[in-house]
Amino acid sequence: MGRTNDHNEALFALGLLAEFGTIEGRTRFQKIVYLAQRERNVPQVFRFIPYYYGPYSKSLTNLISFFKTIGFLEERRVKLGLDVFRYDYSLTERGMSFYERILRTLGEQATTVRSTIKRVASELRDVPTTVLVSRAKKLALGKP
Amino acid sequence: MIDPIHGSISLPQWLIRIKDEPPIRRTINIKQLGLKAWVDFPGAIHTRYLHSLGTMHLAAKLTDLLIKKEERRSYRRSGLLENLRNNKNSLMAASFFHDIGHGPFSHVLDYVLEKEFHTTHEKITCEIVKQFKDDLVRESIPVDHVNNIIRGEHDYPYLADIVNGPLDVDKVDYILRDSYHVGLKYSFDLDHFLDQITILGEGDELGTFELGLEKDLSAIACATVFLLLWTTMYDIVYCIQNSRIAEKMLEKAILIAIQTNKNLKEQIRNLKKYQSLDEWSLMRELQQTKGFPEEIVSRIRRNDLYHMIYDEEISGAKEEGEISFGGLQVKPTHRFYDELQKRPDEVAEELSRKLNEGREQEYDVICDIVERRVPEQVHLAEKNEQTGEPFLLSERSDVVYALEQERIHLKLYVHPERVKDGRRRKNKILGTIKELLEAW
Repeated sequence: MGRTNDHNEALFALGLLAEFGTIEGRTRFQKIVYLAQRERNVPQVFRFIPYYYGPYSKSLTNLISFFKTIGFLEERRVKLGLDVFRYDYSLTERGMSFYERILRTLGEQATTVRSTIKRVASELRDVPTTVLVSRAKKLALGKP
Repeated sequence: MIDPIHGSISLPQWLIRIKDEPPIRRTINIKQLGLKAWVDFPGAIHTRYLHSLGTMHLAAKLTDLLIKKEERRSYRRSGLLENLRNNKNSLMAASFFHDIGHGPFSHVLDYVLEKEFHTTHEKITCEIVKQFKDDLVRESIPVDHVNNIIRGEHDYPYLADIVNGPLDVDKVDYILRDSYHVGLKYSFDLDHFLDQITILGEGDELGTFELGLEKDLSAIACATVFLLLWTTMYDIVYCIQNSRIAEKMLEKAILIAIQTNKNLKEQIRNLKKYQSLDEWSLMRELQQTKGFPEEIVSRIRRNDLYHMIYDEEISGAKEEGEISFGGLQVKPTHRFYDELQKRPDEVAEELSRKLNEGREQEYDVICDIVERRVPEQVHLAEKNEQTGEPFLLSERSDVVYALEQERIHLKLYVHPERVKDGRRRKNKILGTIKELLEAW
């Protein structure tokens, strides 16, 4: 995205939510960010650990939790079955206005940031979570 | 060694040889809960030393359990059994040493170390461990393994998780030990809980395995009870109000003292001298530092603490602003949010410093930011067919999901002799905080 200061993490996470609308599930969120960093021209702002079920970033989890606390994103609990839940994420109005505010401070770079995130969203939006998981897992383990 | 929590603890050979060395003996003069024993919980006079022994005992116990579980598996995972057996001593050493770099009064010195000395108690811990290199290597315990486990950065994450993870033996020991000593009769079935912990992973990539929970309702229930106790302890013990105020007072006294007291500054800066800095020597140095530090120590001794004049949750806006407090709608800069997420103590100190600019005393008002601790994510040995990944505990436990809700509080403490003035100026102070946040 071309921006090198320490707000990249917030910019990237909020930008993805702005473009995706809703990201269904914590797992999906993690894998989208991982694949965007590995396969697309996105700075490696989140550090991932290659767990056996696929890469996981504690700093992304912490940032999501912080934004939820501050009220920038909404976490919706969706019941999938008996005692089984999924957590979906979307930006709140305040989150969107904050994201726009960060973009305004970027000046001309904002266009590049937007288009990079848009591209990630359009490429990954319709990919099922199981496919994202297996792609991320293969990449993390260095398998073709 | 006899321990009030775990009963008989047997010491390994390497520890018998070094247990009376000064850096280890120092932890007998550092109370596990620091000033909480002076202010709110007079029974909490247990020490870091005892917690280290208890954590080591649990690390050995959990490792043995994990070894037995792997031995019983019909399809053993390649190399895992050997890896656990080979690393048991490193895990015991890491758990014994994990807190040896703590300063006097436990967490009070954390922010001072970071701000003024650009270090942390974890980094100091690793430096101290290196001093025992010969003693550890003699028992085939590599020092870098020990330090990587302490830092939570080991090549095999499940090893680091035993000492520094979401359900680690450090937490298990301090929950049981601290609740016992403060006088809360909390408990849970330790053996049953440890038996629910397992290593998650398939294939032969041990570097991708992690510590998680068994696939049954009993594991979910046990872990839920444990995390509920852990969170409760933060609410009613670790963040209890008056002790928190005393800790902030002491932190500010140290920050002021090291500007003029070269001896104290050197005792913190120099690793060798740091290893003789305990609660008594720190209080003595502060008492000998004229002005604010001397006054603060005297007030803490008399339990004459700052008064809280303001406390509001700033997370989750109530009206239109991004953050609301004192009826004010505040739109902080993104730099502020970044700092608040990563360095809340730094934000609180910066606000305290600016609020006291031009005033007679350095810290008439102390600003504090208190975050509620939330559990880290833990996986279960139960696959979610829709994602192809194991379930998270919070996807299977309503209680754990509820515990994940973070809260951030902004608090103001005022000098006991300026309480009236502080209350009168409260709205002005909040207005100044709003201006500072919007220009951060």
